[in-house]
Amino acid sequence: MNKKHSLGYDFIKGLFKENPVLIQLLGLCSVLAVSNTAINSISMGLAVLFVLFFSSFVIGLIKNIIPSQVRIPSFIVVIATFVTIADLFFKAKFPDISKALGPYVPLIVVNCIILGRQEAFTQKNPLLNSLFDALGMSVGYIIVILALGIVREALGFGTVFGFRIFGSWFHPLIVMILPPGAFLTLGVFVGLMNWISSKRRA
Amino acid sequence: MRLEFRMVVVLTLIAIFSGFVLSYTYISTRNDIEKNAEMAKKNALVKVLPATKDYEEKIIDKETTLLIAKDENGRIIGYAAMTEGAGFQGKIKLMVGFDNTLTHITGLEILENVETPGLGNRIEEDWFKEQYQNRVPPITYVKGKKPEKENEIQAITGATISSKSVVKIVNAAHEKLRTFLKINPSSQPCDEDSSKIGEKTDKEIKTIIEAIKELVPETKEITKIDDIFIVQDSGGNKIGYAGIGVGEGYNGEIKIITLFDISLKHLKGIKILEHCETPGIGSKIEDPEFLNQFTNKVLPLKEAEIDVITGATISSKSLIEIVNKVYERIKKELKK
Repeated sequence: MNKKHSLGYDFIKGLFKENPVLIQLLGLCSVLAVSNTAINSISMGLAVLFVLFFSSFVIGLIKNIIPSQVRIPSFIVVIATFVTIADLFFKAKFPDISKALGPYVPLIVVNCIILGRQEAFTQKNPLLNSLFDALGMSVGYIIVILALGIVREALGFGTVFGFRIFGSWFHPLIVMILPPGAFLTLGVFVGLMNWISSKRRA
Repeated sequence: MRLEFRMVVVLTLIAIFSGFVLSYTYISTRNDIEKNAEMAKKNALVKVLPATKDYEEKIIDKETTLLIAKDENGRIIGYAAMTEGAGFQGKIKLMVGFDNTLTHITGLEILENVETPGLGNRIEEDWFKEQYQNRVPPITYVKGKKPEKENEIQAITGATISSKSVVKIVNAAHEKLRTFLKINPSSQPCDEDSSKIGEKTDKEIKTIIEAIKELVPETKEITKIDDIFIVQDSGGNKIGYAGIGVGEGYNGEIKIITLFDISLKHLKGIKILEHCETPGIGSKIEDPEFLNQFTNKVLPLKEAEIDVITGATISSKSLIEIVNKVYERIKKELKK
């Protein structure tokens, strides 16, 4: 058993100290793939928040009746259920965003952040702590993917959330909205994060 | 034993519960999702065939659906194909519209693509899509220069494969529609060289005489001197001059007959003999409402005097030009 923390700590740790993307380097597939514009980033982030929160909620409720031998398939079924709900919701209400996100919403099923949190946290902690952990991790994910989205959209299209931020002199760097742009930006972010943590430790 | 049993029961219960939740979600979102797909289809159809009021759907094969576009009177104004094919990185799904003879492309819309952002996905840009308008399939593409022929489009620099894919999908769709609808493109009127003025057959002369009579009912006799038709009433008085005019429309040649009064000051009216303008758009030059505008206008015609047809400015202006050309010609010949 992990030692118990306060609810606040369980929330906060996801933002910085245990940030799922920058520190744990989990769920990078979707982070790299859909962070080409800010609106795609925030949509993807909200989908992850929805899935992670409700999966943690349901799994937190039923964790005691699941035999540990079948916990992974059980978790996956629960996660897949919420992912499908999110996917259908996007398709019904926001068809354009659904088109832009493509297969990455259904792929949240295999996003390691979600399953990882169930394995590493929800299983072993009280329900309420799990919910705060889920929120913290999701918000940590949203912050990073949104920051990536803003930087890439600004440099790659010259816009943020579709609003032009640079004058006509600006020549868009197409590479920023292509996969290499994702890796470059994420690399810089992870580097910055490591630099900040090492400064703090020193 | 007990553990195995529990494993099965728990997993089954979770799966059943999940099944219920998903069925419910599916049913409650299904209408919206279908509506979205329908809307996307309709929007694309109106973009490729703007005069569409109603349509009918026919599935040709797994990839291709035929949409028969109709106007408010139920007349078929064109056909569109919703189809897909391989692009550079994945499937490209598009809709392409044709006129009702499958001769010209009326428009192109890209529905889905996963081409490289900034390069291949520029096939979604308007300038690229608009190039297809009024082209005659099968299309070919040119690189790095302006397209010259009526079946050429310019490929996107740095995205030749994506451009080529679109061309290929469009041509395949055209071929499929042709086979499916059994329309032979050579039967359309505008491709052959139109006969030169002065080499008219009897049949043509007949239609011209009928057209003149329609414009001026009191016509009794028509005499042809060179290219000029002199119109006389029953008393043998000259009541006007008529002439044939040919000019470039939007899709091809437009041939009209123009009738002037005896003093060559006013236009009595015009009539369209031949044209191949886009059905539903340019073809509106045939509307009596539009043609009546030309009656009793002072010569030479000024562009400001005629209200052009929305969406068919080129076709409309072309008529004005033709009228003035005929006017100049007749004026010169009468002076001789």
